[in-house]
Amino acid sequence: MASAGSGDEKAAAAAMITLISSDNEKFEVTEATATLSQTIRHMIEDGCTDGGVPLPNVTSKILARVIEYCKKHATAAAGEEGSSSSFSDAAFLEVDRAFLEELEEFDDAFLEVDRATLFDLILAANYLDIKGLLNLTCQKVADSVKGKTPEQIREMYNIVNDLTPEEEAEIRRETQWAFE
Amino acid sequence: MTDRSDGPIGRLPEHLLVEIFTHLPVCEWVQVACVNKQWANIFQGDCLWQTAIARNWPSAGLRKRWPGPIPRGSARRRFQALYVSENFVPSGGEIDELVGHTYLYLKEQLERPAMPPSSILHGTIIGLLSYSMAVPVESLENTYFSVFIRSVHCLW
Repeated sequence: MASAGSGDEKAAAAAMITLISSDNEKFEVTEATATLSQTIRHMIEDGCTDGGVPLPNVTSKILARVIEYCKKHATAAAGEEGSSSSFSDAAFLEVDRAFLEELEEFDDAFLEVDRATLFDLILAANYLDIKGLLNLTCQKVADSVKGKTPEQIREMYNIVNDLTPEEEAEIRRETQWAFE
Repeated sequence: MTDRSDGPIGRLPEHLLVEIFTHLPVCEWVQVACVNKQWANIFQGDCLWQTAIARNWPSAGLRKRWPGPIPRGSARRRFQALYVSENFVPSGGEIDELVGHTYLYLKEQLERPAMPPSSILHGTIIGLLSYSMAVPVESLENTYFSVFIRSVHCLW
């Protein structure tokens, strides 16, 4: 049994976990990959992952993307840990920067999805409790409304305006303090 | 695109909309709050402001004791105070929530059409001064003074 936290990393890396999507597809992943999800980490700690982890809220299409994200970020984390012991400080910083740049490129490419997929990823990241993925996807949606007027935002996300002009004026007045 | 017709953002529960909104700069919030009633209501609730405080000033919730006569108020009010402290009040780099509350309070008093009873302002200043005695003076003296001077300066 791997203990919580960073106990025996070799054992943790070798242990495999089976994740089962809502449409019953099975995905084998290393424990290091799976435990990027706090939800799965807790299940492993409680010892209830024998026979696979059913994820009834996540489709195979989305789970495959989530695993892709976790694999990359778990590898990056492991790489950083390994390099800290075997490189000098300068070399470590160099490796560190290269990792971060590569991760950033990966994240950018990862977010090149249609809106429906993006919202599915947000829901999955929330359900599986993967902080990094939740931040990444929420930031992407936030960036998409940045600099837009309410009308442009409604149009972009197909939202019906149910505010009267008076209500809108009232909201504007209330929020005015931010611009002083 | 299929997602244009079913408005996929409507599938998100409110706490995830809060996640998204708090990833936006504050100056964008008024646009977002004006989109529809649901989004406007999110800006009326405590959840958004608490999340925003935790994201922007992770240590802001740590102060247990709350000194002085100015109430700390709702999460929204606290956010406002912290935002003011960070953006409008020159200080030694440290964000002091109380400075923001002082600024907001004095500003509101000075903005009233009729002058407030002098005892309110007097009591406030006295309260703050007595608080400032109990903590490192040099870090507070200047900021309180500048808050007060700035408030008076801006509003009179």
